[in-house]
Amino acid sequence: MDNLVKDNLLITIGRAKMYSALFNSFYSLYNREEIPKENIEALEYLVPEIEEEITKITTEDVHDYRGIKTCDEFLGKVYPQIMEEFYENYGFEVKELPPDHLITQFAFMSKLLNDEIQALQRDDKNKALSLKIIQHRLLATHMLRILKTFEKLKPFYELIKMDKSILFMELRDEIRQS
Amino acid sequence: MTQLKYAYVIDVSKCYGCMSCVAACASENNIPIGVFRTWVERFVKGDGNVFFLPKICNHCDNPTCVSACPVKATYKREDGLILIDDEKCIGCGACIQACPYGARFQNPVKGVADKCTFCAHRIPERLPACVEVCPTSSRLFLRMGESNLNLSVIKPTTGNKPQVYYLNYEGVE
Amino acid sequence: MKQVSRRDFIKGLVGLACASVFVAGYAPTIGRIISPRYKSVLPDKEGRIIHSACLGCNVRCGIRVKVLDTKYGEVVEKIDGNPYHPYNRAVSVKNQVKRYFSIPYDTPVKDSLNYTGTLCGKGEDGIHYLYDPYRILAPLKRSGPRGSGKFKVISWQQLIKEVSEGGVIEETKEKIPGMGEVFVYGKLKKAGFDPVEVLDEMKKDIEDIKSKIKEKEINNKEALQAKINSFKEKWSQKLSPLKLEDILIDPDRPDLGTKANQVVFYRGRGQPHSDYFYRRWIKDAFGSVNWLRHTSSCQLGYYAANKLWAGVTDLQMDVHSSKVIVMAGAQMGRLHPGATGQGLLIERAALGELKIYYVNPTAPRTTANGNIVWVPVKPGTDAALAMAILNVMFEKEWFNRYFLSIPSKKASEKAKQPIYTNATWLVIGEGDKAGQILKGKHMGASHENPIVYNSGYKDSETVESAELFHSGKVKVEGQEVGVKTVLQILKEEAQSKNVEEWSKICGVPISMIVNIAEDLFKNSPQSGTTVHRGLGMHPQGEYTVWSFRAIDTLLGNMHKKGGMLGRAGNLKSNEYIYDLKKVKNVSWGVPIDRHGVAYEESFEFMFSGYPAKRPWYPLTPEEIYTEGFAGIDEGYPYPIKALILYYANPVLSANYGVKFIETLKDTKKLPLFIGITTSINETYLYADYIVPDTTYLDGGTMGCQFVYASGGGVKTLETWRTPAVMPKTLKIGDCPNGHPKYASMWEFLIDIALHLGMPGFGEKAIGGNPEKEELKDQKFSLYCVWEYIMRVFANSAMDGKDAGLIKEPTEEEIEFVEKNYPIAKFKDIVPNEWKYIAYGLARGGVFTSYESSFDENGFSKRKPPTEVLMLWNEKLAKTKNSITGKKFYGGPKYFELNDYANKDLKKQIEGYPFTVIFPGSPLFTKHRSMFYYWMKQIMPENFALIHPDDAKSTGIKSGDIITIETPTGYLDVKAIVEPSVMKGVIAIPVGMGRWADTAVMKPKYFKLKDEKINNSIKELPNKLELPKEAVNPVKELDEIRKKLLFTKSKKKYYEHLIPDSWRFSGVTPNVVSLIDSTTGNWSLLSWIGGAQVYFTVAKIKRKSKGKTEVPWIIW
Repeated sequence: MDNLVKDNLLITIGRAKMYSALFNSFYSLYNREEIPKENIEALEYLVPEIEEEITKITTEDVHDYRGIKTCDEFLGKVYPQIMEEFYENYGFEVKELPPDHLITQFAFMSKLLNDEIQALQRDDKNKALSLKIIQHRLLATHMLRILKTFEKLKPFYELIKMDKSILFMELRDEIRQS
Repeated sequence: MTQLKYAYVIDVSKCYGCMSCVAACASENNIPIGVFRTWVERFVKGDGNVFFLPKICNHCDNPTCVSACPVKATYKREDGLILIDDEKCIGCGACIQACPYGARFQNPVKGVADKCTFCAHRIPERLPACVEVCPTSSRLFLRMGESNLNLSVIKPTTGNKPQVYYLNYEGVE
Repeated sequence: MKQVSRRDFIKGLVGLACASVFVAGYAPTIGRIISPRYKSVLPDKEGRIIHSACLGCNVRCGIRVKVLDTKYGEVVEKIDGNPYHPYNRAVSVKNQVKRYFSIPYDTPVKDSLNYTGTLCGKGEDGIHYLYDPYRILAPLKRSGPRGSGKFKVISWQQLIKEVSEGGVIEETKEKIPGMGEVFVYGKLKKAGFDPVEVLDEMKKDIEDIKSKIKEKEINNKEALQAKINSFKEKWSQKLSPLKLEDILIDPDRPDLGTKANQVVFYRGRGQPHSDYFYRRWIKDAFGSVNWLRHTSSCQLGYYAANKLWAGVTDLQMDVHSSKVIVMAGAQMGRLHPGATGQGLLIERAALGELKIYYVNPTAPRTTANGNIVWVPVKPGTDAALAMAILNVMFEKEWFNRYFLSIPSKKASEKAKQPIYTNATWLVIGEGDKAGQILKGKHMGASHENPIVYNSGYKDSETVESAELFHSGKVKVEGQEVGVKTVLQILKEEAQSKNVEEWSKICGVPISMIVNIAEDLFKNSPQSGTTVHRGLGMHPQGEYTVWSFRAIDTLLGNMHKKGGMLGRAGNLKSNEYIYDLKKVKNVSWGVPIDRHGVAYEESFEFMFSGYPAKRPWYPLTPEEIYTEGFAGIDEGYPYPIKALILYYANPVLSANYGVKFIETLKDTKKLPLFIGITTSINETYLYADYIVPDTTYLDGGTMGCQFVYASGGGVKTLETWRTPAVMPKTLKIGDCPNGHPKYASMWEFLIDIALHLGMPGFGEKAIGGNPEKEELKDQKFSLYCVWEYIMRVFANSAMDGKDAGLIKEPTEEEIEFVEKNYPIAKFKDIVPNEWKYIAYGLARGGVFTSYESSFDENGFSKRKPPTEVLMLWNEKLAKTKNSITGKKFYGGPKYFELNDYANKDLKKQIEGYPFTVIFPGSPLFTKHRSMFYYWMKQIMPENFALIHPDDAKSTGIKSGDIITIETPTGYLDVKAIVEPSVMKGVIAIPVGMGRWADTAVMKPKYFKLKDEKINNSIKELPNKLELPKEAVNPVKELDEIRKKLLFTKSKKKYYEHLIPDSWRFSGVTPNVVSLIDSTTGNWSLLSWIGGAQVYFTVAKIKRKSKGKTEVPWIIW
């Protein structure tokens, strides 16, 4: 186990590919296009029967996968704006997709992971750590919330939950050391 | 654990629910809509009489939130204030679960845990924003030991040793 | 699907990483969706600090506004209280408990920064008002039929031209008249006359006819017609080549006034000095009598009652030293001194210094350790409670005999009492003089002083005291009539039922009634009543309030420390150096709402007699919305040409205001409709032109604000409001002196005046104080608001200086003001007074201290608000109801609920078992506070509070949607069941239920029984069509600034206006309020004041199940 965990860069690359694949898959569904098969292949590394689960999801379903749908209180209605501000807080702006959409969050994770890969490649441990922290915040505060709400997303919920726990362990150990 | 140097005292008989403390805190600390560092609850008794109960982080002397944090992002300062280091917090939510008073929340804009800081950026030269703005002096920010009033605390049985004191409060949790 | 273990997961990740699966192809897409932007920018320098006056509600507390100047613009960052202001009161680390007093007025400004003042939530939330994305910034003109929601941007110049000269709605080919058509002064001037001379003489001729009618010299139609004919003949000749029809509304009815009266100016949320400014504009400069306020939907019942009792409209208990207050029909957290100032009352009560009997159908917001006692009372029956208390007081002799027995001014001077009462005066009981005060002349003496009884009937000026209770018979002009003292009449009224019967009517137990009476008497004179809309906004509200004030009279608490006080004094801001009042012009006539004029004084009366076509309200101290719009609708007493509506929303906020929609849409009844406002609300939807206005933080409502009773008990209190930031509206030009002009009410009125040539504007428009030798010949120009407002502050400052309040400022203080206050840019207009103005500005106004405001005898140093308190008002007793022709009863009395003509109300309300009330709360003010997001997050919607017993009997549970049916309509609202409201009462907190605020969201929660009005609502547009560049001051700011201000709000409405459901949530019950079938089915109003009625009756029914969404019900 220790050997695997120490191989930080590989894991990060793996995660980056995972989120890219998730983004591509759901984005295709969102636009009623066929999912390019390399994405399914990628996800099968992590969840063996994932194709079956993905085929259950329709375009109409995907349009509902948003923060605003996770709560019906008054405050839920400002969810898109809160997500916008979340991204702004980290120096990004969102276009084209609703800011509180799951796909937007996948895109953000992809971006963060790509940046993290670059940071690790130039041995910038602090930058990598801070990017990991942002990722964890996104998953804990927003992404899991959406995934939990929809029945058809259950396998993805489990997947991301697992990813978050890996991230959590890494962060806990790294921050405790420093 | 260091003891809190300050005594935050809330006189329940004076609070009449104007909510300016909530607005002042939101303004002073840039709090997003829908989440609260301090809030006021309203209760109606059987005879129809109403009372308001301001709530806030108790800056406990034996805080379960501090021990719950996996990355040691939340800590108790030398003067006893419990604060969160925004840089370290990973947003896991453990401290939010650990608080028996519901004082912590997830800041949706930053993705980190958030809570009342007793306006650490202003005290002790100035008062916390909520204390200063209150039209009835229902909230006070004193030095520990400054008053010997008949005070009680919220949920004393948690073992957290909460350090926010209530006056004229009849025990509704 | 089987669970993947962590080990396997990591293995999978590594495997994926090493695999050649290529998933990066979507990178450009991701880059498009998420892209970097710059991070937070910190403000460039230290912020500015301004002390000004709040307008979160109308209490006018002080505020300290912190402004940051960044390279992206000025940003208001935080609003705190002003420690100099008696309402805010000072707080510091060392001074936390007993927040009773403000810091001394002469505290150097530098030191004042070590303190703050308290402030309520609405004041804190002012930021969201200033930067409200729904704000209009440029002038608009409608580009479709009225009410279609289509508007386009026009230039300021076009706006001024068309409003003055007339215009065309190009899209519908409609012709709109200009105000110039009825600017009589201008017409006369153009034709070569001296307008003032001509109009003055005309007015005198009409006054002459009127006085002849009064003296019965003209006493029939023919005689009056003859007089009118000769008037017409004279003036047709004199005015040639102009015709009489060019000058008068109706040459056969010259008493109605000149055509200038056909421009009506209504204001909603008025303030000094906007009020004085447009009053001068419309009344003096334009020459119209129609300067009208929203008071009938505010507190007119309370005002009219106090006027009858004490000759002034506003009196309440001293907040600092009172010991027992009966707070009746007044909301904790709303009534002056407001949510901020009332904090003092609450703290004192909690500390045992004050006892409050909270007479209200809803529970008080705290019991303050048992010192605030809830006295539930059946809504509308409060007069019975007052009578019960009076009954006990009379029986047990719990009244101030000494005070009541003083019969005259002379006697009161001897007794060193600033005020006396008419308790001992005698009222004639029968004959044609019934209801009048017995005077010397009635009994054959030469004087007109009231007669009193002191071992015989005596001239009240000749005795030191007189009998309180007396009944007798005297000969008046040969006839024997019964007479009773005023107090005897009141006693008989109070004893007309026994305490048990009164108790049954109002629902207050006898023990509580006796308790209150005893507590009041034992603590007098530091005891009394503080009353407000719950009592006064009632069809017989004036009598209700008066009955409570009778209690105060008996206690003898007037003008004393701890007792009843009027308003604080203020300075002569309109006339001390610069004469901002007088403009040479002449006006006369009947206002469109018939306030302040008796029907019997009009020429119409001689011709038509009773009933009047619509009610007239001679004794109301202020103006009436309903009657104004009914007047416009019926063209009675005359048709109008133009309505200018400022900062108002009668369609929504006036009771049954939805009835006004049809009138507003009618271009024949209302040819020109101009709206001056910050956003397009439910009323402005129907305007022809929209003039963008400024808020209190950016130049709106500037001036020297007086405050309402009891004014903190201090002698002088004036809050000064100046802008914290420069206006957000369009810049429209420059003044000749080089200062900038921004689109706003101020510049709009000035530019119209300049265009039309109205007197009092332009060159040499403002004179020096005519009473000061060195000033009276000086003249100053008025081309922009700064030339007006700086002179306002100069007046106050110099009056303050001469009164010893404003001292010599230090260099440091002047620098503080010049560095921080935007208004300092305009100091060159008033170079001689600037430094004293700076002294006042630095402190946010002029304030005196409480302790120094009372003399050694415990009397207030203020000028007494009146000379005599009246428990019988002769003027009222002589006034006739304009529809029935019957005289009004002249003293406090309990009446059963009735309509204007005393006919039908019982029938209308029969069968409706519940009473619906609309209380306010400290979180909001009326309907103009839906942008207070920090408050809305706590209370996103309103609801109907119902007592558990009522809920049980109707099968309703908390969260259910219920339908409330009133005599006029149906309202769907969420029910909340709790015992904080009395049985039989439904309380709907007021302020929500909006449907238009530059965005439109058609209301679905109500339906009226009047189909015509329902159609008006159905015809609402689905949205407003207006250009994006005309709206929204937030978009000019960069995104990061928006985040600093609005980490809380929708960004979508920065770009385009979509309905913000928070702003349009909830219900407003006044759309289904009571109407009066005896006045044409317009809103039910009170007899004397024309005040609206703040309750209605209802049946309730469960509509659908629901649940409560918010964890705490707060209002």
